[in-house]
Amino acid sequence: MESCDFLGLLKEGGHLSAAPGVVQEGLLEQVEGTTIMAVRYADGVLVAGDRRATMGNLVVYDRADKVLSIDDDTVMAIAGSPSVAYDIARMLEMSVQYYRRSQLQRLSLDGKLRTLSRLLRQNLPMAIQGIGAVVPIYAAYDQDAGERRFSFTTSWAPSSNASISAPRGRVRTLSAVRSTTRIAGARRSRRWRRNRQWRRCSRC
Amino acid sequence: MAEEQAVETVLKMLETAAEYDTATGGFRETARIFPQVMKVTAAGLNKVSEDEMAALYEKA
Repeated sequence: MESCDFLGLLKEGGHLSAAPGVVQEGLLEQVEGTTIMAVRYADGVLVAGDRRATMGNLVVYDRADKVLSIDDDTVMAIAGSPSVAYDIARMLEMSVQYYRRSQLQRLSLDGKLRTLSRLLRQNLPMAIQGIGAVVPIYAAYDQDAGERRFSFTTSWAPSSNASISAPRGRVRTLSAVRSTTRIAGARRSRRWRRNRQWRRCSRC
Repeated sequence: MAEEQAVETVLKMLETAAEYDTATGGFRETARIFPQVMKVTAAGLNKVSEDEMAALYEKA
C-alpha cells in the first residue's frame, strides 16, 4: 500500500475512475481563486484576505468579509464555497459560545481545532463533489504557547503548527472505536442493563 | 518582523496576488475597498481600520 490517505487509496484501487465526473484529479487542490494568508510577526499573527467573491468568471461581490473573528482571540480566514464557509464559521462560533456558557469555562484551543475539524469533515462529501469545498486558515493567540497558526485541508485535521497527521489519526480512532465496542459487547454495565429494562417497561 | 513591516508585506503580497489572479480583488481607493487585515496578539483581536488602510495606501 503506497499511499496513506483515503483518496490516494481509492485512486490506487482504481475506484476513482469508476465514477467519472464525481472526483477528478486535482479537484480538491484547486478550490477558488481567493487569497488569504497568515503571517507571523513580533507581536502575534497577522491574518489578511482580499474582498472579492466570484462565481465562475463573474465578480459577484466586492466587499466580502473573508477574515472572521470566532471569539476574543481566534480568527478564521476562509477560502472556497462562501455559503458553506460562513456556515462553518457560524457553527464554530456558536459551539465556542455554547461551551463557555454551559461549562462556565473557555473551550481550549485544541477543542476549537477539533470542532473545526469535525465541521470540515462533515462537509467532505460536498467537497468531493466539487460544490462545497472550504479551506480555512485558523489563527489563535494561545496565552500559554504564544501565537499559533493552522491551515486545514478540505476535509480533516489541521497542519502546520500542529503535530498530528490526519490519516494516521483517523486509522487510530477507528481501531479505538472497534476495541471499545468489543469490550462493551463482552459485558454490559449494570447501568446499561437497568436503562434497557426501564425502556422496555415504558414501551409496554 | 515589526508590525508596520508585516502589514506592508501582507498588503504587497495581496496586491501581487490580485495582479495575477482574477478571482482575487485588489484595493480600490475611490470605492474604499481595502483588503481585510486582522491582528491576533496577546491583547486580543485588532482589525486594521479602513482609515488606517487608506493612509497606508496613500503612503505607498
